[in-house]
Amino acid sequence: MDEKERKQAIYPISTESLQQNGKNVYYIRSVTSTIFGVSAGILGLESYYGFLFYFAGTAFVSLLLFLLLARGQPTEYFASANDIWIGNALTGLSSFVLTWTLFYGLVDA
Amino acid sequence: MSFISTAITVFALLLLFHAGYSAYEFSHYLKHLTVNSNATLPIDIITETIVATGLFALGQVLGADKLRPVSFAKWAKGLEREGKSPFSFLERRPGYMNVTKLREEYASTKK
Amino acid sequence: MTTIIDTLRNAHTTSSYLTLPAESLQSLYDTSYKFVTSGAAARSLHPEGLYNVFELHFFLSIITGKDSEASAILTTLTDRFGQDSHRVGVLRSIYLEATDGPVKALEFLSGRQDTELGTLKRKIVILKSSNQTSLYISELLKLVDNYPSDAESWAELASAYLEAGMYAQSIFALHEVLLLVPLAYNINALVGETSLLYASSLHAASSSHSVATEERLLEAVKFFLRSVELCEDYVRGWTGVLVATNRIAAIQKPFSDTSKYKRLYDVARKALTKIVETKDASESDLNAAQLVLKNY
Repeated sequence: MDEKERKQAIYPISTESLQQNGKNVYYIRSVTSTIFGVSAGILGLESYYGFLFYFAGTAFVSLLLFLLLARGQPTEYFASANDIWIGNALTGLSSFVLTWTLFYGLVDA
Repeated sequence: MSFISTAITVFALLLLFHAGYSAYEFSHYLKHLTVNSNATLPIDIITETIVATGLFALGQVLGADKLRPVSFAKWAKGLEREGKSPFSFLERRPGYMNVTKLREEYASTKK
Repeated sequence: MTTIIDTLRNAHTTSSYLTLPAESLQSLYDTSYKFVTSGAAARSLHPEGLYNVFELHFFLSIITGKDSEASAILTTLTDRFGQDSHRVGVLRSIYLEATDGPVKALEFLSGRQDTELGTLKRKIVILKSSNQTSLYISELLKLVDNYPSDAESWAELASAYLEAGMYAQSIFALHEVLLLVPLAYNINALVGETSLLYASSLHAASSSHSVATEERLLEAVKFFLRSVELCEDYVRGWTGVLVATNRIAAIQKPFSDTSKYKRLYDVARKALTKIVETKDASESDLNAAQLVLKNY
């Protein structure tokens, strides 16, 4: 048994909490990505700029998650700190593209 | 979702709708006036959109369910306080309940 | 609505109806009665959740003596899930046991499949009411032989042994439970408590302090400590540590080095004092903590 396994055996992790937190973050990512798409469409962004906008927005949400939801201590709530920064970062991309193209077309009279 | 987060979200959506409508109007005029067809979106619409987007994200994060600690010990503490221990069945053992005794106990306290 | 569902679901999963005081039982029954009879249950729950709420309502009705209500809900369950359903069969036997007596229930149970764990458990319970402890234990032993992965049966066996004063066997059965459910902090604490009782009985049997007694006390501390490791600020665990280390400290001539247990006593005292000061536990736990702090 190595050091990590030993630690896990003594201080187990609650998989239920882990799943619940994952779901929470997933939901926020999906909803915000959809709205990012709307905004990108309204702004009339094209090609790379749209994707740049998406990643900027995602980074902003990561920051909010880190500061407000995890209160600066992501390891308390996630298996690793990366889960809050880059985890789920691409989950919203498809809904982003969907609303982006939709609103791009809608706004263009 | 708390009141404040709902308020922020609704306000953000209204703002976004307004920005979207303005952008639509702008492109409408642009097409009909044909003065300067490659004019960019006015700065106030851009600002409005970005502010609305940021506020929306803020509202969502504020209104999200609280995260639960992943440490089993901390999680168990919370459950124990609320009387929701997932292990209490081992000491109550519903499969072995003594229904006659339970009924007698209940009836005697009700008298 | 969601809070009602949560309350009922929680009462079902934790089986809290088995230990609640009468008034709380009454109010829980009122809640479930309203929820089930208004049809809100059927509208807002999936089959499994619905079954659980119905089952809970059945238990509440039968415990609070509302036999006609229990019978009605039993009919609903039978209509929905069929005569052959294993769980409905168990409920029917409980109903018969409560209203027609154990003989009728046993008759019904003997007509059921012998491979149903729930049915086997009910048969054994009916034996228990005839007050034959040794027979009860031997039947339970047979059951855990056939179903060694059923933690509930091992726990029941442990409690039967405890009632019979057979502490060593009781602790063994609890160890089996822990093998199946290693994170059950309450069972860790229960091993500690049983070890304490065991130590007392050993001490009473031999007039002087023995190695065996001391070993039991040290073992008790070990399991209490594991319980507070698994559940932060677990009052039952910390009070156990306090009591056990207090008894170790009282030993005149210990066989092993017990100096670290004095430190543990201080740690436990500090932990409990902090819990009491910050009121960081349920009402009953706080009272227990205060009582133990005063007496040990």
